[in-house]
Amino acid sequence: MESNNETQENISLLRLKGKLDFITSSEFEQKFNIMVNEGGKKFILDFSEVSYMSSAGLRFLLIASKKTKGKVVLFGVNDAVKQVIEIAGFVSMFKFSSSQDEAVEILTKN
Amino acid sequence: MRDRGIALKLALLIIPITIAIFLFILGYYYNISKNTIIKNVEENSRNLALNAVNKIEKSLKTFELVAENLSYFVQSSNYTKNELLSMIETAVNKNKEIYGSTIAFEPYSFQRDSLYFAPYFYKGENNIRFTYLGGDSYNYFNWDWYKIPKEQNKSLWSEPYYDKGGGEIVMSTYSVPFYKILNRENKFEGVVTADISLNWLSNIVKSLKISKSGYGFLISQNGNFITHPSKQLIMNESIFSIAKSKNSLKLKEMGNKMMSGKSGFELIDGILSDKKYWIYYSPLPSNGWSLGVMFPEDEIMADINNLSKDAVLISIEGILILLLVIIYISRSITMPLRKLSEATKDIASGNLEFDIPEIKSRDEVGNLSRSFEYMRSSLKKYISDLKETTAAKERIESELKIARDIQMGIIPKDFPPFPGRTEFEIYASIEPAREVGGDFYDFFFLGDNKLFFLIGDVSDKGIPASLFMAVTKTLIKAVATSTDKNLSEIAYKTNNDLFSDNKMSMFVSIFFGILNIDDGEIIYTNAGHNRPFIIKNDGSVLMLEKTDGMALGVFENAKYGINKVRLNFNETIFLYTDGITEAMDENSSLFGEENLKQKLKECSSFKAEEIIIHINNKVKEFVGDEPQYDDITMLSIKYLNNSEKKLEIELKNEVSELDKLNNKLAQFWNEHNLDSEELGHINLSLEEIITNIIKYGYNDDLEHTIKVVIKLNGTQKLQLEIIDDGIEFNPFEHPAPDTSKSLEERDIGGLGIHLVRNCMDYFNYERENNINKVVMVKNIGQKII
Repeated sequence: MESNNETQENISLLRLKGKLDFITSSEFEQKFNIMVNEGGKKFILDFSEVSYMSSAGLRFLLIASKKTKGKVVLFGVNDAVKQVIEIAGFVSMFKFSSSQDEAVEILTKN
Repeated sequence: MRDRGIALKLALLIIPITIAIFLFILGYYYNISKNTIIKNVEENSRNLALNAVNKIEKSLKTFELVAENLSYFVQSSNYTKNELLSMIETAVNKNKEIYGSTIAFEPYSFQRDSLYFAPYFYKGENNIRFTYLGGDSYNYFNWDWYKIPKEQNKSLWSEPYYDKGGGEIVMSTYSVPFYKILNRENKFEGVVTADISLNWLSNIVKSLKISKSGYGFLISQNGNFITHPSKQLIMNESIFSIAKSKNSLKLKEMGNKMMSGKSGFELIDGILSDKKYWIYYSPLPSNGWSLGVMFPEDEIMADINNLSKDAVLISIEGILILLLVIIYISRSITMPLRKLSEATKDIASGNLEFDIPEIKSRDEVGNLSRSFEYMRSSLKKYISDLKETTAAKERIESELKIARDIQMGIIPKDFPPFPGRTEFEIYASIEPAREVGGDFYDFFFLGDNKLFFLIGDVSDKGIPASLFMAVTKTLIKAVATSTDKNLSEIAYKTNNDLFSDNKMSMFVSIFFGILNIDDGEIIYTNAGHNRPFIIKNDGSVLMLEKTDGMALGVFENAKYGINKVRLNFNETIFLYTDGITEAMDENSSLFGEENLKQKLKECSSFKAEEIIIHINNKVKEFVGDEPQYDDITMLSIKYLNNSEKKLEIELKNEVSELDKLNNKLAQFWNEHNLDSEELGHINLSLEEIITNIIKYGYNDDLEHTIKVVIKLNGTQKLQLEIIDDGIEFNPFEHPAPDTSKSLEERDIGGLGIHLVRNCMDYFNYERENNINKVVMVKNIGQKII
């Protein structure tokens, strides 16, 4: 697990790495909460290096979305993870982009 | 309109024939009438003509006599001039027909000094006039009346002529030559004449009464018209000039006949008009003239034509009356027929409750109506009888159907029956010959890894057989599941139970066995049933070895032996009833055991279900359209347990243990060369279930073991078993979350199980002996390298 935050015009980037399962998702959640407390309002979640996600990861995404009032953009989501999001019915709740720049653009507009 | 059809047919048949008969009668009658009329006309005209001819002839004879007398007198005696004149005058005076008369002498014969001497007396208006003929303007020597008798030395009538300078009328003259005997020779001395006025002749001819527009006419010996109603013809035209101008050969021929003194009756063209005339002509023998009497044909025919018209009118009226009669008759026939036809429609539509219209007539229609009434009452009776028998039959059939439903209800018919078990496939089919058959099968688990299965055939058919079958099946299951008896004892006990209450002396052949899921071993007992086959991996088919024992329910305390056989991975045991081997084709030959064995050899690569479908098709092909005489029942079990492809892991109830599971699973995946995409789904499902157990399954702080068994069986089905000793919790009984809700409304709970449901092909939870067991199955493919 590895995360990183780069702030740019009130947009925070959280880089996720490895598995997003029952164990790791709570760590990402802590990290995310700190960033929110530091004033983060818009988030980009980098899924490029996430290979696997369980319902714990979904729970993290749900919390992230609720806390930012939907200002979350995911990019680099692989097929297996995308499938899990689809099964859960979360696709319409999040915005997906193919690159980091595009994610910035989407968040800047809103 | 139905009656119009018959009326039309009758009319078409009768009217033309009637018309033909009428026409024939009319034509015949017309012809006969015509001939009769023409005959009458001929008779009439001949009489008229002959009368006229006689009358004229009589007059002419008078002329001739007078002239002859005068000539005799002149020749035979001496006379003075005065005596001569007086004689002539007397002759003219006494004979009222005679217009005039003269005695004309040769030149200088009577008086030496006088060239002409011809004293002429003729009739004036009131008196007798006298003149001397002859002179420069009247050289009688050249006139026909003088010249021709002189030349021909005989008496004759002249052609009509206008006597200019003499009588001054149109006349014809009878001339008698007279002679003086000199030296014994007759010397011509002159002629004596008697003139006849053509006017007078005309009046005679006119007086002929000849129909309305008929008339008579006279022609001279040359054919010239002497009298004719048309004055311009007289002296100007002859019958031949008319024939020429009309270009009528017939008229010309008739003229010739008239000229040659013949009489006749002919139809000719009219002389002045184009009308046809019947003519009777007759000659006047004295002078060669000819009298014609003309009857216009149309006038003759007028009556008969009028008569014919009347006859035609009457015929038409008669035909119209006939037509009305035909319509009336056909109506009187078809009205009842139409009523009957309506009634028949009602019968056809099933309504038998109305009255057939009563037709009292004693003819065929009346008979038909009575027959209909009879048919209706018969039908009604027949149908009510039929209803009763049908109702009775339906009752029986409904009972049979209920019995069948019971029978089919107690036989397991949902396949696959154990979707959580990938170690074997089982399939069975039953096709009763009648509504209720005596065949049956059953299968159920004894514990976790022993499958009890059986197939049987009760010795009878119908409801009793089905009840006996139900009893047998129930007994076996009760005995097998409730006690720890072995197969031999199960058979023994069941046999005695069946025997004791068997008042109808029924028995049942039955084969039963127990398959050990772990190693494929089958222990079996055969109670008089067809021995099953085993389809081996090498494609060969073996029949199971015999065991001791006879059908259940025959002898009390009968003994039953047991035997063992082992199914290897991918091998199948096939059970059947004699409905297969004794299936008959049209030649009554049997399907047979050996044939079944050969067909099974084609099935080594088939699934359990495919084997049964294959054999069923082959039997159907063999039987063709022949009826099915016996129940056909089959049961196949294919052993798919692959003990080498098995992974067993024990985990402690800590989240960190999940990594260990992940690693082992990845290793298993590599070993068996499986599709890595599926690995994510398996990992996800295991994580969700196990996390749940770790988080919510224990209400103490002790260490627990969670057992995970992973089996990969023959048909690439991955079977996952998760066994724990936590509190009772069925993860699948919670409803799936509503994934269409918006973010704010969404609750995070249940999402994990929702993911499992979507990832797995089968999932089940059961709790037994304080142990939770979750079974999941996933169909996975081999990795394509």
